[in-house]
Amino acid sequence: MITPRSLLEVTDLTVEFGRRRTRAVNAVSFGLEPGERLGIIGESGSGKTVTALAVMGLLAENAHVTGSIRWRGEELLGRPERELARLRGNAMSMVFQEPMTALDPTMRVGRQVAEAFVLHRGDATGSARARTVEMLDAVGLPDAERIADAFPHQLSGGQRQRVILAMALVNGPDLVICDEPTTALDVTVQAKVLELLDEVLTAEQAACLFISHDLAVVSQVSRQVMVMLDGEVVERAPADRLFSAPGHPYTQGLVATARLDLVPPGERLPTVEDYYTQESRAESQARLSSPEADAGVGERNEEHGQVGRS
Amino acid sequence: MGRYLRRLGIFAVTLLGASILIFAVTAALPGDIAQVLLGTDATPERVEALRREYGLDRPLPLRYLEWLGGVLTGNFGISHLSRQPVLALIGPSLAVTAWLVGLGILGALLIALPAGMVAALKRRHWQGFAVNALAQLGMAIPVFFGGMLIVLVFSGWLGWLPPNGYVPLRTDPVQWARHLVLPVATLAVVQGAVLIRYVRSAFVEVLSEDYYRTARAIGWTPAAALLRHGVRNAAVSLVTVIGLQLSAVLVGAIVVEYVFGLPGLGWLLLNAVGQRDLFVIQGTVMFLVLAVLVINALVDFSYLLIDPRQRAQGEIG
Repeated sequence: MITPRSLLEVTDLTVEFGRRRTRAVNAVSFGLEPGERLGIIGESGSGKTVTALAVMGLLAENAHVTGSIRWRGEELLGRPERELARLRGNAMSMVFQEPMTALDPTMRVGRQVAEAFVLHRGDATGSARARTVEMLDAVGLPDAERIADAFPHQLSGGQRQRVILAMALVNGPDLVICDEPTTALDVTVQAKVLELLDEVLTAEQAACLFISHDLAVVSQVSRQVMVMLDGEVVERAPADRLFSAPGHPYTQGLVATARLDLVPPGERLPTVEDYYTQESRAESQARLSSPEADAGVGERNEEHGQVGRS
Repeated sequence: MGRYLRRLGIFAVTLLGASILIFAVTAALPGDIAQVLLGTDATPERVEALRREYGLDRPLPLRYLEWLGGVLTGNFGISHLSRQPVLALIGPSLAVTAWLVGLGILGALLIALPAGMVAALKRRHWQGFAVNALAQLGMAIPVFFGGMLIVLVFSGWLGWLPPNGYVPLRTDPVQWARHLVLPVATLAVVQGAVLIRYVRSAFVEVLSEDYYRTARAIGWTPAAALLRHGVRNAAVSLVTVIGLQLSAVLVGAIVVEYVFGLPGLGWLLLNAVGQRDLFVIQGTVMFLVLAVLVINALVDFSYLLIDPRQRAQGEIG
C-alpha cells in the first residue's frame, strides 16, 4: 500500500511516557499520499492526539518514541529540533482543539498569522500583512482587515478557529493535521467550519490527518478512516463501509452510538459497551502488555529516543 | 474616572492612618529626644525644661494635629537633632535609596529573567538543576553577609572599588558609579535569586499553555516560542511579584545601606529612631508608605498595558 514516494509514512510508531514507560501508542502504521486525507477516530486516551503530536514532533520531553516517521522518504525521528521547526507551520501544520486558548491572548490575531508566514518566508517584500488579510478572507472571515487587528478575546470561538486555520494554511502546507478542530464549537458553527476545511484543503491540495471522536464529523472530511483503541489501530476502512459493515466490535459500538436516528423512540440509547465489553477490552490489553507484543516493536530508532528536544 | 478618584481616596486614608499609627508608636517608645540629647546623667529638671522648649509636654493629639497641618502646607517639621527641615534631610537620602533600589531591581531582573527562562526550559536537564541550586544558595545567604563577602573580595583583596561611602551623581558621576557598584550588585544578586523562582514558575506555566504549543506548531523553536509568546504572558504574574519585591526592598535596603555606609532613607530612619527624632521618623515613613502606594498603583496600571483582556473593549464582528 505504501509507495516509496509517500508524503508521510508512519511505521510501527510506539510512544511511551515517563520513567515507567506508560505506553500511549503501540505499533501504529499508516501512510499518506500527497493530497490524501485520513481520519483517525477513537475515544479520548486512544492515542490519536499523541500520534498526531508525534508526527509534528511536538510531544512532551518525557515521551519516548520508537518506530519510524518518514516525511517524503526522510526519517523525522531523531532529527534536530531546528530542522523539525523548519517543517512545522510550513510543510506540515496543525489545527488544535481549543480555539479559546490556542491563540496568544496578548497579541493581535493578524500578527499571529503574519508571524507564521514571516517565520518561514521572511518579510523582505512587506507582503506579510497582505497575505494575512488574504488568508483571513479565505477562511471566511468577513472584514478581514478589522479582524486582523482584534485580540483573541474579542472574537467568537468560530472566528478564532478560522484564525487558527488561517495560521495553519498561510504557508500552503502539504499536510494539515487537525486535532478535533470543531469539538469546542457549537453544532451550526461546526458544520460551517468543516465545510470550509474541506474547501480550503481541496483548494490547497493539502493532505490531511483529521482526528475526531465523532465518526459523523470525520466522514465529512475524509473518506478513509482509521479506528484507534487503547493506542492501537483496530480497523481501517472507507467511512461509508465503517458505517454499513463495521468489522471490529468496538467500531460496531461507535457506529451504533453515532446512528441515534436508527433508535426507535422510547428505546434505551446504545453504548459502545453493548458491543465491546470491558472484559474483552481488558483481555486485549493484557495481550498488548505481554512481552511477546513488545518484541515486535522496531528498535531502529532506539538511540534517538526523544522527539521534540531542543 | 471614578476609579481614579476612589484610588486617590484610598491613598489619602492609608497615608492618614499610617501617620497616626507611626506618631502613636513613636510616642509610646520609652525615652524621648530630650533625654537622648542630654544623656543619662542629666537632672530631671533640665530634661523637663528641654521638653518644654521642644513642645513635647503638650498633649499628643494636639502635637499630631499641628504636624498634620504643617504637612498639608508642605512643612514636614524640623529635626530636633540637627535643626534642619525634615524635607532637606529626606531629599538627598531619597536620591541615594532610589538609585540603590532602582538599579538593584533592574540588576535582579537582568539576572532572574534569563536564568529563570533557562530553568524553565531545561527543567529536566542539568542546566535547570544548576540554576535552581544557585538560586537556593543566593536565597540562603543573608544580605549583610553577602555584602561583606563582596566588599572583602572586590574592595579588600582586589582593591577595585571603594568599600563604602557615597558621592552624589552631580558632584562626580564616576565616583558615584564606583560607590554604587558593590551595593547594587549585592542587592541584585540577593533579589535576583528570589526572583528566579517566580520567573521559572511563570514560564513553566507558559510551557503548558495551548498558545505555546501553537507557537511551536507554526515553527518556533522552544526558546524562541518562549521569548516571543511567553514573556508578555508571564509578565502579568511577574509584575505583581516585582511590585511586592520593590516595596520590600525599599524598606529592606536598610541593611545594604548600613553595610556599605550609604546615607539613604533606611539609614536616616534608623538613626532617627535611635534618637527619637520624631518628625524625621514621621517624614521618612510617610515617604516610604507613599512610595509603596505609588508602586502598587503602577503595578495595577501595568496590567492594562500588558494584558489587552484587562482593557474594557467590546466584541468585534
